[in-house]
Amino acid sequence: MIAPMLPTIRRLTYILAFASILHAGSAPESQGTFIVENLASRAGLIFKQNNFATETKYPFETMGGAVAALDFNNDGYLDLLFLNGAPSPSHIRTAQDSFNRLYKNNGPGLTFTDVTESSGLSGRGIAGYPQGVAVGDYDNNGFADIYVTNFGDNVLYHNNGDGTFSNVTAKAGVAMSGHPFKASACWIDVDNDGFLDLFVTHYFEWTFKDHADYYCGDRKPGYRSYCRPEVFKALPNVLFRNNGDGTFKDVSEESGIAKYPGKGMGVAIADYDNDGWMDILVVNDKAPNFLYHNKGHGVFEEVALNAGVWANEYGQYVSGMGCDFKDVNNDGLPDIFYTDLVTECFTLFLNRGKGIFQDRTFPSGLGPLTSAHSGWSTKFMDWDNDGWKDIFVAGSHVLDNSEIYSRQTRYKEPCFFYRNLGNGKFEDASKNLGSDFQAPGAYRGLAVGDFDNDGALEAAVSRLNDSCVFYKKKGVPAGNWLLINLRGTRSNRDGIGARVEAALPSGLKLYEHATTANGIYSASDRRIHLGLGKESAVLSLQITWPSGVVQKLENVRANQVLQISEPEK
Amino acid sequence: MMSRKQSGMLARAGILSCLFFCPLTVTGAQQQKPPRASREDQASTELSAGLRAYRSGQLEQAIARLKRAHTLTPDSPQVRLYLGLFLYEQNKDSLEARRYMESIVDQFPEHGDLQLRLLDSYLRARNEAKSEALVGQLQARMAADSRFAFNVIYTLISHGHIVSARREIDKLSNNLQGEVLFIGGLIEFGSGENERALDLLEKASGRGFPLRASRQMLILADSLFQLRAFPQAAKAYEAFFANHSDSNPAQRFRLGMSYYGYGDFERALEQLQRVRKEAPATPEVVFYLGSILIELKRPEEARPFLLAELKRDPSSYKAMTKMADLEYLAGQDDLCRQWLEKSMALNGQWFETHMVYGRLYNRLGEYEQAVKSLEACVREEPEYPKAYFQLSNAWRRLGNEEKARQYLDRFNRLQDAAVSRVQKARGMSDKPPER
Repeated sequence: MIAPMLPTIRRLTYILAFASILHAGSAPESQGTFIVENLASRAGLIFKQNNFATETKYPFETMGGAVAALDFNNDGYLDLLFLNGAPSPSHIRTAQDSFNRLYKNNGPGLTFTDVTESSGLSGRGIAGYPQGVAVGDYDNNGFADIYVTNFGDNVLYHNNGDGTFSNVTAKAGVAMSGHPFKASACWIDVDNDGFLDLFVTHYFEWTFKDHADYYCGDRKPGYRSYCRPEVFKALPNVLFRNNGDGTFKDVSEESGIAKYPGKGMGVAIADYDNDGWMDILVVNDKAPNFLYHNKGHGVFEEVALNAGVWANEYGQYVSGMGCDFKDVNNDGLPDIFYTDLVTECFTLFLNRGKGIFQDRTFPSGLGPLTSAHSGWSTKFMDWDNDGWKDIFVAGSHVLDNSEIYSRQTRYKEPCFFYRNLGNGKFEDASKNLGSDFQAPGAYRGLAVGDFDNDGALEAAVSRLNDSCVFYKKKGVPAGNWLLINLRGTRSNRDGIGARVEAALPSGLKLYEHATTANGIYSASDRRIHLGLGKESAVLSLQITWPSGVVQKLENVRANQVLQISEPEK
Repeated sequence: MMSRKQSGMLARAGILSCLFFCPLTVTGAQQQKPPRASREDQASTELSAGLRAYRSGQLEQAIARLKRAHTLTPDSPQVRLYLGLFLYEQNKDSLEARRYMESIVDQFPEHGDLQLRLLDSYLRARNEAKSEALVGQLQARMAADSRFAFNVIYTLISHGHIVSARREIDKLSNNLQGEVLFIGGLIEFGSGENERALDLLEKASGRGFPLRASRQMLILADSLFQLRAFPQAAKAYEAFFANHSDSNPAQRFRLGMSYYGYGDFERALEQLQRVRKEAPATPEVVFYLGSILIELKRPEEARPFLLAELKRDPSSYKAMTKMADLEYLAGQDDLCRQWLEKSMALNGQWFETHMVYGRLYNRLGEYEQAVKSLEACVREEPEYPKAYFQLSNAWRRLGNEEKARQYLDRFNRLQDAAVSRVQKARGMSDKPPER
């Protein structure tokens, strides 16, 4: 649907008969179950996260573990950034075991090279305990920039285009020094002015000074626990408007964001009412969720209660962790999924239109499948390329000693894969994915993308105090596919917020929108991946750009990486 | 007045008080003087005859003899003593008895029966001043004789004089404090004073009574279970089971239901599974197994148990409603409605049926119907938080923000209280096992 609020002049429709083909992938053989392998060490991804845990249980230690998938050097292959922990209380990183790691994708063959030192992203000398990462080309220079949220000041790294990054935080004005504990961040063009704005979630009010007043758990060795968020004061999230000159303005007050204190964890974006303005979902930890409806031009009202996503169907606001906001049932309306802790059930809300969501956790089958598990980052992803987005969850509880308190709880869990059956139901297909996928860990961040451009998605996942994992499907990808690399011209260059509608010969329509934010702390491939199942072509592909421009392509062949630029006029 | 049920409980507890249950120990008239024809001699004869009559169970005759003795020697302390005690035994509210006892209590400072009966008499007459004064006078003896002190406190508790009793309890040894509180708790429980009963039983437990290994622990557990003090009941049952191998499935069922009552569903499931194995015919065990599995968010595992309950009791409207809930969770709205209709036909008052109807109507967008059902639900179960959340949603969809907000506030209050209760019950006040 074309945004009715946009001026007519912006509703331009372009028909392109041919799409530029960057890469043609191999044809699929079959769909169904598949095996994944953890290729991390073979691919050269030897990052081990170190959370510098202390006996005093500083809350940020069990958070973090950010991962980002980004093509920082524009060579057409996704690279990987992992953020590390930092020693308390200074959080100044001086040693290798606290450095972040940037791995450059070497192209075909799926190997990576550690380019941390040359990139300037190690975090050396920076005081701050990393939490989340957001990726976006905020200055539209064609190179992906990186924003890191910390316990401490946040850091904005500008991509210089030569493989190096510069810390431009001070100039940009996005350090957020006031309240130290930040969680996730995302890039979003809230006012459709062609420049990406920056949204950051605040976890809660916490300082080292306060920490002395809190002791959670039994007072005996090994029993001290990270405190429940209920103990701490809620804070509002923060929105920075991009001034277009490398600087940002904190517009939390005038945008309406500052009105709502919460305990923000994951953030995801979508235009859930298809009015042409991107909206923001934040899941809070043991507090009601926020759905910030963009009333236009970046002015928001929080509508979670009216929309029905304030809490689950029972009124229970859970330990919200990671979230995603995509159309999971192919009806053109973005739906919501979020993770939480054991017994709470990962929650699925289907968008019923007119701004109303309905909790379908149990009818979808996800309730019973997830009630025994805890999860962090997550993403909707069509891993079997059947045209229906599945769900990936990075598993783990938050408390590293949770098992001594609850027989039901396991701290380390494997990742989970919930396969979308296309009929409103999901199945837990995790066990079918092979032994590598069953490895337990304190999983946190999750970045998904097609790292070898073969049409099958890969997943990079971080684990606290453990090596990262990199899951790749074994063998030839099943199901046809399309990978779309959007380039905004009037819109932001990344095309974040652009809506893609693909009509298949079978009559099925697929919907996606461009974003890099997913789950919690994480950033994924900004390119749009569509699983096409047995369809060898897309009858029509419509892109609605944030600028309002509507672009159409017809008869697009499957199994290719499409480069689509927004028409200039 | 103590009921037979209360008496039975106390008897089982083996902690009977002589005040209420033991026959009066008659002493003091045995030293008979040689017969003389004086008024004193006649009075002595009457007194002895009266005591003999009492011992042979002829209370009225004993009183008549003593009254004759009193006429002959109106100042005799012994005659007044026994006349007062016997009249009291005949009628505990007797003013005459009280006056006799009152008149000579100072002359028998070691006579515990007299003191306790007089105290009871004052308390029955709600004579606060005199009862307080008497307790004050008894302090020295209470300090020297803890069993006597126990009986005084017991008397105070039995009349609901908790504040006075508490003051005196603090002076008792720890063990006796626990015992007296325990008895007091059982008395209050038998009298329907549940809040007071719970308070006393918890205090008794806090003072280590009953002992964990004692059989009285079962009495405590059962009382707490009936008082719906589920966390405490569970602890008492656990202690009992840990020390007694002769526990039966009915007791284990109550332990499981105690866990269920405060939201420890995993433990509840474990106990009821054991009950089902040991005594499959236990009424409703399969129903509650199904209910617990729903709470554990394992609805499809609940289904066979609920169907088994319906086979056992085809008229179980509760099981029908649970089946409706299962179908609702599975997204089978038509089947959900069918079960609800069956359940409603059998019992139109069951709150849970109205609740599931309300949720179904909300899902289907039939908000006016949802409001009707949910308001019926909270009429039957006014403290059910989830119903208020659903009501809030329904009113919001109907455009009535004010009502939506009111019901949401009510939900938040009830839900917060419920969560606090569960957290306290599960010992989570200072530890965060759920996060």
